[in-house]
Amino acid sequence: MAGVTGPVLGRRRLLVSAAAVVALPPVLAACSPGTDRRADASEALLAMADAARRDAALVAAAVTSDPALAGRLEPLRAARLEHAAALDEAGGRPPGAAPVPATPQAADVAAVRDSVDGSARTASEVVIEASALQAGLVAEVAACCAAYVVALQ
Amino acid sequence: MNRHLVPAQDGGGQDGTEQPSAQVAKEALQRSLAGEHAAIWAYSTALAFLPPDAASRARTELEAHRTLRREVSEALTELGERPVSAQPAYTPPQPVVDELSASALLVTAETDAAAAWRSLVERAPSREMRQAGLTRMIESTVRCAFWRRATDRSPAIPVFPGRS
Repeated sequence: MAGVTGPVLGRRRLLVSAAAVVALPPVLAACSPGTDRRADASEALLAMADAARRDAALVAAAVTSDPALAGRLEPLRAARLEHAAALDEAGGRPPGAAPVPATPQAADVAAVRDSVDGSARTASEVVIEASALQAGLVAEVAACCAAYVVALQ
Repeated sequence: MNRHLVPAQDGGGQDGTEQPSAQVAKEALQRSLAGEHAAIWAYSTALAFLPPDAASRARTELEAHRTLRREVSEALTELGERPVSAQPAYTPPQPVVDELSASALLVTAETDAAAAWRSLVERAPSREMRQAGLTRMIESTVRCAFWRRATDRSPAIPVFPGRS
């Protein structure tokens, strides 16, 4: 069972980022109307979709290596495939046009976790630059991946 | 039956003297604060029905929500906004009578909180604020996953957390 133990993200990190909220007034004051400063992140979304498929393939390889992992990892594989489809659509890629990821030789839980951790970090970076329209989806992918990293520890 | 503890707050209050993005961000912060008020109520209510291990975790999460409530309140005050108050009472989706219904209440509370933080990510006028919203959204998703496991919901981790 992939139990979450303890407040994993930690109070320290929470307090650090709290400074960002408290520092709001000057940030808001410096803000100009409009959203032009956030570039279209379509390319980044498609790269995230490809990474999602790679994660799913890695999970499949891990389950092939150790079928007992299926219960723990299958929800992750399903989630990453759903992410891929949503990111493709948001990035303007037609259905079925995505590249098929190479089949990994073998994988274990640690390899899956590291890969998903990388995906979470990428998403957390992309969300900052994404348009308001795209930011919600990217944040969802980031949050889902980050929660799996915690669950797989 | 209303699935949410907090009714969605909708627009309003624009006085025409502020830039829209700043006003939208303040409203998103108020929604986050309302979610934290509701979460604090939910954890306080659930505690009495949880076994020691879960109660210990719930107490830790309750403190985290209290910290968040204070931080968001202070941020709103600094922005010249009056922070929204807690409701005198909340209506849980189902009566809280045992461990399962108490855990289910916490699923609802964290689901609402994640949605509110996601909304802040979308509406934040600055990188810092968007980053802060994402961090809290992730934390809420992790907390929510624990209570979803406790209530046998599948998947424990939602595919699109915060989406309502």
